Amino acid sequence: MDVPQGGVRAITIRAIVNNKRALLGTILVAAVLLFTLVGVFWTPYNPISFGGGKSFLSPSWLHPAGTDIYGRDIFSRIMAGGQTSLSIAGVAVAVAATMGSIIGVVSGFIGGIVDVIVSRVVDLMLAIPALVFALGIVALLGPSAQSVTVALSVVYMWQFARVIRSIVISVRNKTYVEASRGLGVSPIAIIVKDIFPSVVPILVVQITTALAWGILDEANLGFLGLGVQPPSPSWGSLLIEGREYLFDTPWLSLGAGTMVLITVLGVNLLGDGLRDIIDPRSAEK
Amino acid sequence: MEPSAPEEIAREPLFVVRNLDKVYGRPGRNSTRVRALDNVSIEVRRGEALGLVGESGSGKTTLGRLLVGFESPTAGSVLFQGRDIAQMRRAELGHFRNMVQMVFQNPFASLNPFRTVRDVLSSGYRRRIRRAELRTQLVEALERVGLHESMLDRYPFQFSGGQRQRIVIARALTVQPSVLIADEPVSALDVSVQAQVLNLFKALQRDLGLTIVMVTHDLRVVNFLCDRVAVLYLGRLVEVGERDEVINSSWHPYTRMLMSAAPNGDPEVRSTRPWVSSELGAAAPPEEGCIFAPRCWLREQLGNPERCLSARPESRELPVEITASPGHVVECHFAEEVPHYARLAEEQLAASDGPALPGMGSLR
Repeated sequence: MDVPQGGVRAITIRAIVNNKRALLGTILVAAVLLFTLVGVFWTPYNPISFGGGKSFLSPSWLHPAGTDIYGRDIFSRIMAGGQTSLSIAGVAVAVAATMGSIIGVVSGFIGGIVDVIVSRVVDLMLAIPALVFALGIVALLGPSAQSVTVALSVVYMWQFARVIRSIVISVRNKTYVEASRGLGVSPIAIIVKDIFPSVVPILVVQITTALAWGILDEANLGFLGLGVQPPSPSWGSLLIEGREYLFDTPWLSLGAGTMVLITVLGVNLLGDGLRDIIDPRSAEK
Repeated sequence: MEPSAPEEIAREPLFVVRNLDKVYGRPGRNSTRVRALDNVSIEVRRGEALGLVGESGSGKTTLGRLLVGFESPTAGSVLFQGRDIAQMRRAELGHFRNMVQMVFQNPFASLNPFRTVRDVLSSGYRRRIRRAELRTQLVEALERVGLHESMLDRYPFQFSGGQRQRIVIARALTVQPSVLIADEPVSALDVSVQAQVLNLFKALQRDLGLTIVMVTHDLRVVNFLCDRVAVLYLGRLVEVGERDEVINSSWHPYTRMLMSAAPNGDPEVRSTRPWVSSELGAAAPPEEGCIFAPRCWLREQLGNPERCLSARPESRELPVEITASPGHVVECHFAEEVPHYARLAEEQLAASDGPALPGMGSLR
């Protein structure tokens, strides 16, 4: 078929294999997920208990990422920590993207007084520094993985809402939306079929950045004593634990940092590739 | 008073526009308010092709959008088959949407780049119908506008402007409307393609008995397609009548001027005509008196009568003794003088080889 495909339907295994960025992104994301999944069930050493190993060992065959201040194997801690980091960041971003999309689409599409009120609320929420906002929510709910997830969802939501609202507004008055309205198409169908496809590319980009921030913000909250408590590992907390000794024993942070990097890179590439696949105009590659 | 006999229904106009005003901008902020339509009254008859012509900014597109119900009037009313569009309830409005469809000016903006022709065409079908049946209908819709079924799964960017405009027309026809409002449907296309699309309009009008309202600034389009012509100037309807009468023997000085502005192939002639030099944008509509008075050549010829500046001319139907056909409406105090002075100036022109007066058979 020489006819290019577009839209969400165009996302097929074949399309991903044919798109270099999507393929590489998929491989990276799959590798990270597999690594984390294995970490849930098995790690080379116990990632939590102080097993009497030597502190500050540099990377070797026995300890690929070295050992930390208590002599725990960092590689095992990275494997075990992925679960916390990915689930918190992933769920928080998914919830934030969904809620933000709904708020943005409703506000932008309806317009008028609804839009004015919603926009002011969004501005207000964005005016509060993200970490302070999240701190407040976690303090309210009590420190736990769940409350960190809730806090990050609430904090990230407004950014999504604002970006998506602006796109909806730019698309709302396009002639093709008017044409659909003239045909008697229902507002819901107009949103789903005429407006949302234009939102998807930006949404994908926004999701990838938010995911990276999610991993780091989870660590920040943990560092401040809210969120996941030591000794349970997460990538963010590993990064922060190693910060004090960064000049003497850089490997303490290096492993977790690499994982964050690979994850963000993979999600970014995947997002980029998906955006290309979705947009029919870029389909004749 | 419901019309009973079928011929009575046939004679009843589809659209009745009464004293329509459309003002853009917020009330109270006079500086930003734009009066796009000012006291416009017109009828659209069943089965006719009506041309709305005028310079840019004359309100012709606004009038078209009000007829489709995309805008609501500031004052006055638009009646479709006796019912006010602004008062319609949901079900009634759905019915209206199926009867009246719009064809847009720019076929590059009126098709969603993310949706295939199949998606675009099937959005008009509200009820669930079987796939095979839908497909037959879509293929029919494409063939009606001269496109092939192999194009169903393509995206808008894969088509030329003319093909896109055909798709837009096909989309409008999927709900089987009886009226098409076309807003400069060919102005974005190049000339060779314009002819194809205009022929399509003509064929559709003949085969489906469509009523067509053609918003255009192109007098060739009017000449080719329209039965009647309405001329707008700064939001006011200055003349309505049969196409040949308006184009060739108009009773309004502005229409004469507009016709003379049409290029006739000889650049020398056009450039020496003084009446087309003034810009519409420069002329703020006068508060009272005739809206065209500041640019009116007839007023000069008549020795600048005071009446043109003090009293706004009523829109009036010319007596049948003067016009060839009834229903010729014009908005000018001195409409009866127009042909005489136009001829006079034409004779002067012939004698002096100087500037020509408008409208003297140059168009055909």
